[in-house]
Formats: sequence, structure tokens, C-alpha cells
Amino acid sequence: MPDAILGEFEQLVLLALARQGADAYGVSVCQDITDRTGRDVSLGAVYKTLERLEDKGLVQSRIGEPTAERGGRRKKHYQLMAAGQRALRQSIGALRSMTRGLESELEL
Amino acid sequence: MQPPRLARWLASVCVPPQEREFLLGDLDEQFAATAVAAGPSRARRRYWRQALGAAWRLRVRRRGRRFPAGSSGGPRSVARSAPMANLLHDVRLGVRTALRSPGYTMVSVATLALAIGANTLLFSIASPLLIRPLPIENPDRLGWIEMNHRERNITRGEASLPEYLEWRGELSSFSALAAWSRRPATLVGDGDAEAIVASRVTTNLVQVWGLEPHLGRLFQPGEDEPGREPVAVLSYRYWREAYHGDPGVLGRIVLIDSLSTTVVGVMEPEIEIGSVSEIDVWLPQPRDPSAPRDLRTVTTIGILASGSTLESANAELASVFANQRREHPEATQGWSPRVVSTTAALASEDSWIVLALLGVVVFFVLLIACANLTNLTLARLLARRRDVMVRVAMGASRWRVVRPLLVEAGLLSVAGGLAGLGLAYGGLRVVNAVAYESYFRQVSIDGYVLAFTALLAGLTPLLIALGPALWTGRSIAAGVGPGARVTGLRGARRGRNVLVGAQVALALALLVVSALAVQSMYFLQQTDLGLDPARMLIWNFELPADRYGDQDRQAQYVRALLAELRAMPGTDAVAVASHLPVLESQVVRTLAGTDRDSAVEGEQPWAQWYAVTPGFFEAAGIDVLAGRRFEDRDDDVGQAVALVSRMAAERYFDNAGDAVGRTIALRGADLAERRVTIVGVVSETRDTSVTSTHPQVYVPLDQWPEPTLTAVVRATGDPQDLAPGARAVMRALDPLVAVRNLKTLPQVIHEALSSTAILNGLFVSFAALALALAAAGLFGVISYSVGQRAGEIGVRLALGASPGGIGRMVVFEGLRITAAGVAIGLVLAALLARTGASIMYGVTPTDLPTFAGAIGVVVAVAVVASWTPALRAMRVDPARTLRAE
Repeated sequence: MPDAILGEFEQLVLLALARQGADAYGVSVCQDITDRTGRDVSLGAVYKTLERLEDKGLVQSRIGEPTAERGGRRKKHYQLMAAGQRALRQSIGALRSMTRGLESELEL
Repeated sequence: MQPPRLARWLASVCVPPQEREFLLGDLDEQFAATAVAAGPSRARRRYWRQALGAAWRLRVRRRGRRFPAGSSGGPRSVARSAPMANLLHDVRLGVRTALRSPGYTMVSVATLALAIGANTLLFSIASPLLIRPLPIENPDRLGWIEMNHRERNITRGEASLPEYLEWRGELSSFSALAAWSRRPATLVGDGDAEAIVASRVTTNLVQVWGLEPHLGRLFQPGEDEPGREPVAVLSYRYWREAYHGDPGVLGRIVLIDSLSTTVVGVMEPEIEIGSVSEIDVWLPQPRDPSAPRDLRTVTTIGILASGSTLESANAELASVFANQRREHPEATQGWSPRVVSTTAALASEDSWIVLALLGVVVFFVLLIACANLTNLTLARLLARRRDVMVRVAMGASRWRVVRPLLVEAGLLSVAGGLAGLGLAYGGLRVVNAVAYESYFRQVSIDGYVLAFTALLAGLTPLLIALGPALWTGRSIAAGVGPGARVTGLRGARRGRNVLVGAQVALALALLVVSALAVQSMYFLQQTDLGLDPARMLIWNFELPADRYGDQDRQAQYVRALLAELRAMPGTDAVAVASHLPVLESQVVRTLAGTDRDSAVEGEQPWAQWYAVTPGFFEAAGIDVLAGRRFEDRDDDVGQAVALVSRMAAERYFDNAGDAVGRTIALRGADLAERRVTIVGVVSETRDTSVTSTHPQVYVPLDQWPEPTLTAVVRATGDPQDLAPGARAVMRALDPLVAVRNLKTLPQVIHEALSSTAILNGLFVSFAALALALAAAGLFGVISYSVGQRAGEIGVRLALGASPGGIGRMVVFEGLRITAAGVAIGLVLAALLARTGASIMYGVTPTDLPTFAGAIGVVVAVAVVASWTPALRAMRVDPARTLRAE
């Protein structure tokens, strides 16, 4: 079975993980997407997506250290896995091939 | 700075534990960053949004995760078996059902809102009496001493100061016995004299009631002994109004009734409930044993000593009073004291009856509303009966079948309760606005009322779902099969008919009771008071003792006032009186020298006594029936004269015509016997209760001077137009004489009747509500029955039945139910009416026209409610039904 095509938000989350390396977590993903797309992203949506991606085996998580600014709570860090990278590549490839030849028309 | 705690709590309970820590940490971190970048309020808003969003998404998500990968989309509820999960499922189902049929939902919610609203409204009116009569300590341990006088129709009367002082010394049933009285007073602060309401209390009232000062101090023991430096405590309300809450008022000296008085404190605001809120200033009651014994103005309250009860206190009081009666037969004649509980002291028996009746009324309204909803629910259940049968057959328990109904009813009740609370609030605003009595002006929705409404909203679903639950049970018992369907159906239909019959019965009973109440009100309003209230302007004033101490000065002031008032354009007649008949509390004298003289205590002739100036009878519109009225020659050097009312002349003289010219003696405990010659007979006026009349005697004010007076002006036009002029005259004559209660008589009467009007308004609106709901129920049942029988009706029409006959058949079905309801309703109405007999006036509780009229209205409404379905039945197209068959 070929990998399922990623949803749009899933792509955004995976891309944010790809940019941030091993230290990405809820707030940083949220902030990155907000900064780059101008969308006010809900933490709940990010959490939900990350969990789903983890279920699908595209990302993996590890528990970080507690910090004072979080009221002594720990972070849950997420990292892109090889399968995730592959899914991202396929998705973007699909997007590219779909847009090929439409650059001038869509003013891309 | 902390994130909103409620939002964090919501997020933490909703989010699955494995994510909780990280999410809350992220939320906090984001909050801190947003607070720095965009300020605390933006941060807080964002936190709320993020927390709720996360709570919602992650909660929904968790549910889905229970299914292993690949089975996503399976029926979630099947996998969830915990009771709470089932309930949630039913709630969602209920909301969906309600939204699917908005018409049904709106009607149901509106019905419940009206019923719950009516109950809430009444409860909020009654709850101060039921729950917190006064914010006093240990109301259960208090005993209130009431004075009753059966012959004069006085209940819950007051005692005299000397009586109280003797009780205080002798009664051992009370560990403390306090007294308080209320009377108007005049206060002069910085400017003109101001009319205030003063409460005079013995200093131990502070302990008996457990009063606390808001500012400064209350009275100290001994400050109520005669000859002490006068001190005053302002009420919180008056302090705010007159001194704008200035704490510097402590230590200030004001003139109260011409006495230099030091303000020592401000009373706590919590005590301002009911009539206590009208008090402006609290003063010590000087404990003066030489005060007149028949001046009954003090309310006596004591703390029951440990070991004594109301009964033992009553027994002791009776024996002490027997001694007092021996020593002062004149002043105590006819009086008897009684110790009662706080609840009994604060509301008269009549107001309990009114409240109880209204309580029954609103409860009936609730029952009717529930019956309507039960009917609707049953109808819907019948429509789904196959579904129910199948579920029962597949092993669903009765509880499983009924629970969705219960939950649905619960949702409707919650919505209805909220809407009802809104209605009750609106109703209370109306009551507050139209009321004059402080009690009604202050009723409000408080915690108790909210709890009561919540209780009702919780109880209602049980009432609604009870019928359907029983029916479902029966259908289970009948088993599932071709026959079971019919049995169940018939049972349910009978159940619905019984419900509608009960509604009709309740509505009829309510209609009768409210019609009787309204008629009582009408007759009360129509009663001839004995004086002509139109165009009358009245006000009270008091001549300060320091400058009007001698009677010449008083008479001089009255003469000057009358002259000034007479000179005002628009006045027809003017007079001054010691007090007014009908409106003001009465002074009573015993008579001697009549044909009914008696040595037996309690049987001596007596009369209500008034001192008036010559123009009084014209000004008040009281007719002189025989002899002459007072004239200017009846002054302090003239012959001592009196006028008696017709009732006094008839009751106390062998021949009523002989009264004129007789000389009688007037007696009172506070005055030496005075002989007067009767020079005329006047028409009688009503008692303050308006419902009774007593003998009356009038004397010239010049011969019986009084410092506390009432002015009466009869205008040629609108009496209200004379009010500013009257004020100006009073001010010009002496600015230190305060004008009190300046009102037109129609206004006074309107205010006096406003409480009754409110209660009647409640009766009528509740009865109308009940009738409308019952009509809706009848309409629903008949309509439904026509719908069910469309086939049968079609066949009948096809076989030659006339449409008129079909219409009659349908209406007859409605009337059959109504007739049964009317029969039961009549019994119920008679019982209710008899309970309320004591508050009825001018109409008997078995008034035939009222009962007949109520039956007529109910039957007419029933015909109308059945007529629309009947029309539909007549228009059934036989061809179409036959095809359908």
C-alpha cells in the first residue's frame, strides 16, 4: 500500500519538524507555522496532528527536562523519522508534479 | 502573573493524562511569551482559546483512539459501556432530537418556562417569609408578645410601655425582653425640618436581635433610662441618603423632636428587610413607667429562657396579665396577650392563606405543564412504538428504553428552567415597580430562589417521564406480538385522556379560586368608605413640643394654617384633625351615660375617637344626618360638645333619634373623664381594614388640642395641583414643622390596595396560564386522536356518515374528557375556596355564578380546542383513505 497522501496541516507540522531538528515541541512548532504562514495555529491541533503522525510512524517523541518557565513541567520533543521524510518528499513531489506547467498561470 | 485558573483546570481535566503535563507546560510557556509580546489581557484571551481548543480536540481524539488502527469510524458508543458514557450518548441524542423538531422543542421549553417561571416568581415572593424572616440571631428562640382585642377586631396589636416594663420585671420565661416602637418624628439637621421614621427601642434589643453597628456604636445599657443624654443611631440607608455615607456624622448633634441628640452610630445594612427598611433613625425608648396605659405602641420581643417554651411563656404571661387587669381594668379591658413564634409574628394568618393558595395554584400550573409534556412524549413514543417493541424484544431493559426520554425531558427542563428564571425575573421587576409596600419592593431572586428553581427543573423530568415509563412497562408485560401493539396503544391513549381530564380539573379549580379572589378585590375597591376620597389632599404634621407646648399656641397655629389654606385658590373645604378615619390607626374611648351602660368589663360602650376642626365633615365628605356639625363657637370656652356616628347612636341609645341632646362621658386610661353633649349624628366611616365598621365619636379639636395632626384639603379640581401650595403654606408658617405623607386620597387608597392587586394579578395570570395549557393539552389529544382515526373517519364518511356528524363525534370526545375533568375540578375548587374563605370579601366561597361562569369558560375553551381537529376530521377525503387502506 502506498503511503497515504499527507493532509495540508500534517505537511506544515512535518516541515516545521524538519526545520527544527531534534528539539521541536508543541510551542515551537506552533510558533514556526504562525511566523511563516501568518495563521494563528491552535496548540490542540498541533498536538492532535503530532500524535496522529506518531501513530503512523512518521515522527517519534521523547520526553525532555522540566523548566521553570513551564511551571516545572517537562516538554515532549518530536523528531522527524525517515518514514516522515519520505512521506514529506512524496507529498511535495506530488504537489510539484501537479503544479508543473501551471507556474505562469498561477503566477507561482 | 498567572494564566486563568479555570481555563487551566478545564484543560487539565479534559486532556488525557499522557498528554496533560506537556500541554499544560506548552500553554504556560506560550502564555508567558504572549504576555511579554502583546500584554496580559491578550495573553489571557489567547490562553482561554488555546486551552479550550486543546481540551476539545484532544478529548475527541482520545475517544477515537480506543479503536485499533483500521477500524476507525466504527460505532463509538457501542464500545463505551460506562454509565456516564451512556448518559453522554443520551444527552447528545436528546440534543439532536430536540434540534430536529424545533417546533416541538420550542413549545415544550415555553410551557416549562411558564410553569417554572410562575413557581419561581411565587417562591421568590414567599421565601423571605419562609426562610429568612429577619436577619436576627436565633429567630427560633424568640417569643413575640401580641395583644389581641377580639371585639375591636385587633390581632397582632401592640402593648403599652408600662405593661411591657412590668412584664420585663416579672416574666421569668424570657431571659431578655425588649421593646421597640415606630413612630414618625421630626429631624432638624442643617436646614429645614425633615419628617423621618424613628424606631424607639430598649437598649437590650441590640442583644435580643443580635444587632451590630456598621459604624460607631449602638445603644449601651442604661441609655433607655429616663433623663439620659439623647443619642441616635442612623439607619444605613438614611445615612447614605442624608449624609452621603459620611463617617464624620458620628458625634454630630441634630434636633429630633426638638431634642438635641448626638449621633453615635450607623446601624448595619443587613437588618434592612421589609418594614424595618423604612426606619431612618433608631432612638432609645425611655423606660417611663408613667406613660399612658392605653397608648399601645410597643412591640415586645424576648429571648425565651432555657427550659421555657412558647406554651410555658404563654401560661406565665396570662397569669401576670391577670394581675395587670385587676389593677388597671379600664386600660386592659378586652385585651389579651399571646406569645407567638417569629414566623407567626411576621406574617398574619391571612397572608399565609394567600401564599398557600398561590402555592397550590402554581403547583397546579406545573402539574398541568408536565401533563402536557407527558402527553407529547407519549404521542412521540406511540409513533415510535414498533421501534420500542423491537428494542424490548431484543432484551433492552425498561430503564434503557425510558432513559433517553428522561434525558430528553431533563434537557427541556434545564432550558425551561433557565427561561423560567428569566420570566420570573421580569415578573419580579413588574412586582417591584407596582408595589408600594416595602416588602414587595424588595423581593428578589437570591440563592434560595435559584436552588428552588434548580430543584424544580430536576423534578420536572421525573414527572414528565413517569407516564411513558409506566406505559413502556405495561407494553413489556404484554409481550411483543400483534396483540401487544393494540394493548399498549389503548393503555397509552387512556393514560393521555386521564392526563387531560386532570388538567381540565386543575384549570377549573384555579379559575374558580382566582375569580373569587378578583371579585373580593373588586368589592373591596367598590366599598363605600364613608368618606368621599375624590379631590382630597392630606398630610400629617407635628407641632414641636418646645414651641407649641401650651394649647393656645397649638390652637393659634391651627387657626393660622386653616386661614392660609382657605385663601389658596382651588380649595373647597379645609380642616385639621387629630387623625383620619379609615386611614390612620385608631384611638378608642369608652362611653358612659348612654342607654347601654354596663359595669361589666368588656361590655361597656366604646367608640373610635377623633378631634376635628369645624370644616372637617365638608372636607372629608361625611354627611351630617341629624343635629348640627361643629361650629366656630365650639372652642375652648364654649360648651363641650360631640358628634356620634349613626352606628353609635343606634347601638348605644334606645331610640337613635334621642341621641342628640344627651350628655355622655368619654373615658380613656390617659385622660380624666370628660362630659360632652351630643349635638349631631354623622354617617359612619369604615375601619382601617375597610371590611368592618365601628361606633365613632367626634369632638372639636379646639376643646381637645393635639400636637400630632392631619390636615385635610378638598380641592375644587385635581388635588395634586394643590400640593406645592400646601407645602409653601406650611413652610411659610413655620419651617421647623415638617410635612409628612403629603398625598391625595385616591393615591393613598391605590397604595393601600397595591399588595392585594399584586396578589390578584398573580392569581389571574396563573389561572389564565393553567387554562391555556389545559386547552393546549386538550387540543393536542383530540388532534392526535383525529390523526390516528383518519382511516376510520374516512370509512365512516364513505359509508354515508355526514361530515357534521363526524365533527360532532370529535367534539363530543373532547367534551367527554372535559366533563370528567369538570366533575373532579368542582370538588377541588370547593375545597380550595373553603380554605381561602377568610380572605374573601363581598363574595362567598360557594358563589354559584362564579362556579357556573368558570365551568362555562372551561367548556367553551374545550369546544374551541376540539373544534379545529373536528374541522380536520370533517374534511377527511374518503377516497384517499380508502386507497390507503
